[in-house]
Amino acid sequence: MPANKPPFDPPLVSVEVDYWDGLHSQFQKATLAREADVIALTLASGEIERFFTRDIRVDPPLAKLPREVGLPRGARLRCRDTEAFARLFPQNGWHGIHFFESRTRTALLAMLVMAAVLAATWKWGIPLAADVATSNTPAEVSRLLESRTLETLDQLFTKPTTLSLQEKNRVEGLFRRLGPHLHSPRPMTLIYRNGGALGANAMALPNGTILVTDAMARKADDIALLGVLAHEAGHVEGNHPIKALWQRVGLSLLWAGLVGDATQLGDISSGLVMTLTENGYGRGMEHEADVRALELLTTLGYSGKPLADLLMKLAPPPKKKNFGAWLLHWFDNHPDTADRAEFLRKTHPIPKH
Amino acid sequence: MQDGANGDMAPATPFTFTATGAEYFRIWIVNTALSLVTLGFYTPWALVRKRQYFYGNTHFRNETFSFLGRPVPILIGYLMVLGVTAVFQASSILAKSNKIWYAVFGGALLAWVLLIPYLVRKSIQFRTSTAQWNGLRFGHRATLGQSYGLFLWRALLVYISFGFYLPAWDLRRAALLFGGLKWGNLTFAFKAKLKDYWVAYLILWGVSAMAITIFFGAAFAVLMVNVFMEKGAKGADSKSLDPAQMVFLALFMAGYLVLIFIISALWKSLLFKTNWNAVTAGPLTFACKLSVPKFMLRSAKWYSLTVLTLGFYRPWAQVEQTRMLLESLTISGDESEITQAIATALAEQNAMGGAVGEVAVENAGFEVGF
Repeated sequence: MPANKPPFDPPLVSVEVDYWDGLHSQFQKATLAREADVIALTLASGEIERFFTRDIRVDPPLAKLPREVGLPRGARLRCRDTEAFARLFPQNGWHGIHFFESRTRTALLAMLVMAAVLAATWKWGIPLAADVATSNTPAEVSRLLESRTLETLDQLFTKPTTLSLQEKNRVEGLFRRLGPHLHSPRPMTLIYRNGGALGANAMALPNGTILVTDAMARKADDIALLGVLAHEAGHVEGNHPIKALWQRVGLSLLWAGLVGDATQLGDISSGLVMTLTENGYGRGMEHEADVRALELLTTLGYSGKPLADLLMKLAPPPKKKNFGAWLLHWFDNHPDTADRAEFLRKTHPIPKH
Repeated sequence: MQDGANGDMAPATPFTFTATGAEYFRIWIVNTALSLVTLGFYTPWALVRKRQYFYGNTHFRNETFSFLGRPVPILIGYLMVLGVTAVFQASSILAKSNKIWYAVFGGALLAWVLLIPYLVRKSIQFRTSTAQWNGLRFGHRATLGQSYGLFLWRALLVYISFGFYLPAWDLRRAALLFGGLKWGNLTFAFKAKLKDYWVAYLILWGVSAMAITIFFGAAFAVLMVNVFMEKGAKGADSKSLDPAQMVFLALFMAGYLVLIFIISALWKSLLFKTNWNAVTAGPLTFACKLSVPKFMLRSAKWYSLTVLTLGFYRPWAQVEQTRMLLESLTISGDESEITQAIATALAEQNAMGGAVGEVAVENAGFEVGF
């Protein structure tokens, strides 16, 4: 078979097309036919142009737009008779995509599938991936993250502690009582800061350090403070700060996929969605830490009531449950205080480890 | 179809846009689903499909546009941005433990700044050479030297002058972007005066500053009244916000975002109008009769609905915005140039006797999202 002159038998199917030669801004009417891997274009002048199918580029079908074909040397054809055109060129994967795009029912199905994939990824995929990533995070990284977090806190919120040695010793003493019952991947240490806007608070940092604010050390009585420390120890045991970080990474990737061609619109609304979904994870981890705190308190022979009372005092729930409060709860990464307090006040059986 | 024979007297021909929100929604939802399932790797293919749909529904003189771009160059652009971001992130974190990473970070930053003009030119070439109308491709004449002059040296001047050079820089940028366009053998020109840009920028700066001042002033007043009324009713050590304060805070943030979006709509529409009113192509003159206030109002609608529907209104918003912008454009003048335009490739092709067209599209570059 000579390469430059493909053989051509009379075609079985042909379609009317508009043909641009790639050099002029005026199309001419032509007839397109196909035989195996060769297409033939019969121009109005009677001239016939032939191309191998491997040298042409057939654009996939899209909405109700005419089909287009890119030819060598910038020439192009357009076919408005999409049905006849479809008989000339075999179906491929794009036809499946076009099928889904063309009908409301299938597009909605795609949407449902997408919603299901999103929900499953959010509910199981990201937490699982975050767990795996967390247990494989080198200690060096946790250490770095902790020093960065602490630096940021010191720059924005906290000042050096004003606690006396006596006050510190009381907290240390309480924390030592938890010691024998903890099973942490890393040693836990306490540090103190004047919390400023953080108020009476305590937080677990990425490498196992627990930050206690002066106000917390002074305000909370022994058993409540023991509960607070147990709660934070629960965060450290579960490696929650690192896990939260990985969850954030996972969510960013998920939303990057969702609003891939992001514009300002996408950016802002996805920021909103990010906050909402991330807080869902936060509430889960707070509950986990509460469960652990209650376990530790029960093991030491105390109830969760003092911790519950402290919570209610520090973050009192709104008196009326109105729409505004309900709306805002989605923007909060801690569970509802009243629910937490109710959980902590209940007596639970002592777990066995 | 008008055969405008007598130059300036020929009627203005409008652009029309026939995409519909419902139709694009279906394309968008399938694109989005596939992008998600493939962890984002489908995104370039999705972008090609989106552009093919938008171009294919843009009409001028009964002819539609075509998008000829392939996904792979777009993928390369994405991967490049991803790689650079990773280097920046990693080196800025690692610099905490080892000072040598500061050097890596600095080196990467310098390399990136030096590369930007090159990448911008590549992207412009990709965007223009992948657009086709009536059988001929668009193209761009910007040289590498022009790109470096504008996006490196003159961009530096904008910073040094604390922004006072911005109107002049933006004029030069528009002159390069629009004036460098070509379609077939028809070359575009850009004829704006510096005065027009200063007028536009004084409006933009003035309105933005005023709107933000009024907004913060009002918010501050509400806050002061609130604090004054609440004083004494609550203990001094009450650290957490009550629901009323939090609702106020949420409304404040939402209001601020809407304000920012309306202001950015003002910038976008005013500059769009200023730019297109200065574009000519041979004997043809572009005109833009976009109503800036109307565009701002519509933008507020598009933005609010998109947020309220958690992003699902975006396809409609994009179609409506594109329609509003495109259909504000008209071209008047002797249109015989259009029918007679021939590909610039013709001369080259005759000389070289080879395949210029399709190869040129493939080699036109890659796209980096600027």
